[in-house]
Amino acid sequence: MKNQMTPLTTMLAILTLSVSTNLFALEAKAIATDRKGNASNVVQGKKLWEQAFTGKAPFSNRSCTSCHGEKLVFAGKHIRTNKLIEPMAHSTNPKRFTNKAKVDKWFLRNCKWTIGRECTTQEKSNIIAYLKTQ
Amino acid sequence: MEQNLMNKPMIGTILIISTLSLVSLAFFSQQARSGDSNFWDLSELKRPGVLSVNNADYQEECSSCHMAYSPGLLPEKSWIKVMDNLDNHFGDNAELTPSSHQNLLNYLIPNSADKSDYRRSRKIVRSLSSDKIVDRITLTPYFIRKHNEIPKRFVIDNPKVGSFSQCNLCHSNTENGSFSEDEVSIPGVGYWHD
Repeated sequence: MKNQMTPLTTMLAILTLSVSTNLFALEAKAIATDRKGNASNVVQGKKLWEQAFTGKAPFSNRSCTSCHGEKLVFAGKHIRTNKLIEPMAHSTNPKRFTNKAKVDKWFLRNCKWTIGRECTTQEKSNIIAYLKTQ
Repeated sequence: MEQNLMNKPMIGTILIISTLSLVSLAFFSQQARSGDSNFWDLSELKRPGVLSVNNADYQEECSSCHMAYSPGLLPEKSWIKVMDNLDNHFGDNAELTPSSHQNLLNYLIPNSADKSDYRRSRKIVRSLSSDKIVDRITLTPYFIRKHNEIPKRFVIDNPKVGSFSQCNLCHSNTENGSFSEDEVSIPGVGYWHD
């Protein structure tokens, strides 16, 4: 028998190739989640939320948690005035993230104060993705 | 025959004189009581305190981090200075959208202390010198004078208060524009007695 690529063999080869490519893609996506199976934007959001930044005294060490607190299901406290800030966790405060104008306003102010610049669209969406899981 | 002195004209005169005396007593004592006001300023007989905040947008936008301060607590120039520096609002960022910004100015300016006929607003304005523009209520001479007898440990060093900017922590009736001394109860200390 001649060693030849019959149409059947070709088809099988293409099928195997496409299946393995898809499996590879799924594997890659699986690698992009953390051990708990959270998507990478949630992981990135949590990282940014907890990251420490430097700023002007008396608040030379700043992060989102400075005002919003360590436990998102509880209310936070304004770092200077001590005024109560309603919980960020969607689970205890379902009104969160329902008003786009309000969300935009606070991102504008708080990213500038904490990080020193506006957050990118990706960063904002990561943070919201993280907060929605809380 | 005895002359009865208490005839109608006499009674009438006595009534008129006593009425006039009572009225002027009331008027002059009121004027004297309003401490540092202009003696002849009759509009001082109008509303006490300051305007109570009556704008929902202002309440919403300006009370997330501190109480909503009545526009009647500062003159127009001071409010303009505050609104011009929202990106550095006493160390914080309080930026607004342009339309929201203008909307709030439209509430603040017509209701500012120098446009107001509320008694305390007028006292605040009178205490200010025309050359300096203060951007803090706590830096108006009137405010300083009114709070200069309070020990540091009652406010600044009091963990339950922390700052003079937290008016509503001690003044229980700020929502109605009232800062009357008999409404003052300092957390951890009690009612204020002069």
